[in-house]
Amino acid sequence: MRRKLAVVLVSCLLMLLVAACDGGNKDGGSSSDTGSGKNAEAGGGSGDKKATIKFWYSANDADPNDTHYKWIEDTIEQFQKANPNIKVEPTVISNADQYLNKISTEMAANNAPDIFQTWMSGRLEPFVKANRIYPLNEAIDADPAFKELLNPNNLDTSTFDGKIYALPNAMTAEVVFYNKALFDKYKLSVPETWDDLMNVIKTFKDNGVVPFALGNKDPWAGSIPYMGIYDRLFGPQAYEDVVLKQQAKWNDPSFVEAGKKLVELKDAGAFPDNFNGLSDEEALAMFHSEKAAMFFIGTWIVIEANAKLGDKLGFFNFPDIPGGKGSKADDFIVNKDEGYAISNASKNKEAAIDLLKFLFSKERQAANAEQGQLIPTVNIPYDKSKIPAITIELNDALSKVKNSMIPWDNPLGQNIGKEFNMTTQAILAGAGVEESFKKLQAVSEKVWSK
Amino acid sequence: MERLLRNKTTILMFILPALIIYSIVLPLPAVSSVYFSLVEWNLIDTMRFVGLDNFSFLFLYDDVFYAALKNTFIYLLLSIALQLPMAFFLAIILSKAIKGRRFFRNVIFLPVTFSGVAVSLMWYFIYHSEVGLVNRFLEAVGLGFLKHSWLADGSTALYAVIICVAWQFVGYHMVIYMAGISTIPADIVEAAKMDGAGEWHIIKHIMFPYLIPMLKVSTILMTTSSLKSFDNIYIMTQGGPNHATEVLASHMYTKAFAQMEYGYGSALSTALMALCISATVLLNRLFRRDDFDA
Repeated sequence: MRRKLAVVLVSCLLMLLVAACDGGNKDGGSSSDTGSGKNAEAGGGSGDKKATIKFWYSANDADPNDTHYKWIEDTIEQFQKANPNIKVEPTVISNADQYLNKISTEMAANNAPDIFQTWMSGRLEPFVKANRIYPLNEAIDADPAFKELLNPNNLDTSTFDGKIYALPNAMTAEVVFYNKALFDKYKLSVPETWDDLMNVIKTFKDNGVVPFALGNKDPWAGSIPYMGIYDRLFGPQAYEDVVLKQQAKWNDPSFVEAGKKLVELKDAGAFPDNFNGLSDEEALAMFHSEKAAMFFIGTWIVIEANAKLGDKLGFFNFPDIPGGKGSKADDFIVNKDEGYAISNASKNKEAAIDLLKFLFSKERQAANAEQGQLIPTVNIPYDKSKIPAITIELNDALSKVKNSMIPWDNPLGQNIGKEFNMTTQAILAGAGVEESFKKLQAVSEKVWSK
Repeated sequence: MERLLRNKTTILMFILPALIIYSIVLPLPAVSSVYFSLVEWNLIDTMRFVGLDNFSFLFLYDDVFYAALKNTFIYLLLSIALQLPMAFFLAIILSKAIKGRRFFRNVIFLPVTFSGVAVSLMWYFIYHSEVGLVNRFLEAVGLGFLKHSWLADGSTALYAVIICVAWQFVGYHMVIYMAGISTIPADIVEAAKMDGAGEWHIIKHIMFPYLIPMLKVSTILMTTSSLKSFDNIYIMTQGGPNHATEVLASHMYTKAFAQMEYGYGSALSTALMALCISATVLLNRLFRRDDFDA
């Protein structure tokens, strides 16, 4: 009797376990099935079925004046009004680094939200390769009115094997923003060469103004001046080999030389005293409050900086270094940013596509442009008079770019990209330049040796 | 009934559910992380078996690992050096019938109940170079030249974090010692006083020996919690500036989840696990020998 009871109990337990595992499998299988089923339906107009879609993005929700956050909020609100059957559940994360961690981990666990913000190139590629992202070609081709808004030139960083996996919502360039009023006050002009720059730094430093705001606590922040220096010294060649083709050649002397130039900049007192412990937000606040005269950062700050500084805000491309191969007239650090993608595992692709189209509709893109964003879309009927002057200037400058370099940490992907950022962070914090790149080389060899 | 309970099968039946759940939650992941430490995997691509590559990189190239190891030990030793004596003397003072001792006891214990994240955020602002309490205070009392960006400077950041942790947990160990003091028979203390023992003698020759078991427990607790410390570091400095406050757990987190190097992260966690196990074994050995002597 007792033995029988034991057998029954054990088999019950085993069955529970098996059922649990099996259930998991079935779920996974069926979700991809309905996925492909929906694809066929997707062309047949928006559904009347009720759907709830999860939507993740990164914006500064802590700042009520953040216009980008407001733009997304408004977009969601208007979308809900127009599509009462679809419920959007937004999740916003203000810190971009944390957002990247979260989305990557969830992507790995196959828990990605239906529609989400993503980075492009090397940070998107692994997801695409693993079949986690839904290709958008069908949806785009099925709707000519939608298609004509997208500029094919701006889809290159999110296209893999001829398929488009994400749509960028912003063009960004990494340039030096500066405070015109502070430059005037000390009778300085925009630096054309490295020596000019050193002179500007010295003048500001002598007068108690921080020359460059920099929040090196966020490892990527210090990589921006590094990339600027690297390009002016050596031009785009090594960038293509090492960053784009991923050949592990960090031991090339050029990388060390650029690192030493960066140290020179630091030693000249270009950055605030405690820049290694400042976050990017704190550095931005420093620039906004006019404690710092310059900020080498991406154009994502334009909307807010324009609101805070207005006419005082100007920009220039990082100056030339005599004898260097790069040129400030031709070479820009440019990226397509803030992509929106749809998860392959989504059960509500149709609704997600509707939201995607709404984000990239004429009205919302016009609103996006009018708040000062550099939009990657075309044929948008926005009101030019509403656009800040700085945005128009930036647009002009970007239309003349000859060599564009994507910020390295993007094509390098999440692992080596972060390792590269940490290398520049370490150099700025006083670590040996040679040793730092030797270490980066060792990591790259290990990871890229496929 | 008694016969039923003596039966091995029945015993097995009773412990089986708990055993299964326990092994799924604890030993299995530990074993699998040892396995994952032998692969190169970003959680999404196909897994690639690389043998001991992760470990050879760890020991040969990863200077952050050595920095983290060093910081973990500084963190561990200073935590014990700060919290143990402080908790000990607070416990002695607050065990006496002094005025307001309930109030002080609660105040000192209160931070233990707070969330580590909240405490860390609070101290992050206390140490803040512009708006922080510490710098404002130094300025107010005319010591403005001592102003410092405590968490931003690699030479002070780790100590700043250790002080925050000590502030939070000193009350916890104090309560353990107070419980120990309350078990000391009053007549022994009385008798010692009769024989003319001073306050110091009572502490040294009566309270301290009585509290040795408690001291051991709190040393073990501090050691294990220091080895796996993460939240305070992550909130206050994220391991920076330039790895000055990097500990093993934060390094592991960055590698596995921020850089998606899951295999390498597992190698780090295996190293951390080995360290924790050997520390526990070592402490157990050490303390057991003491018991024999006593």
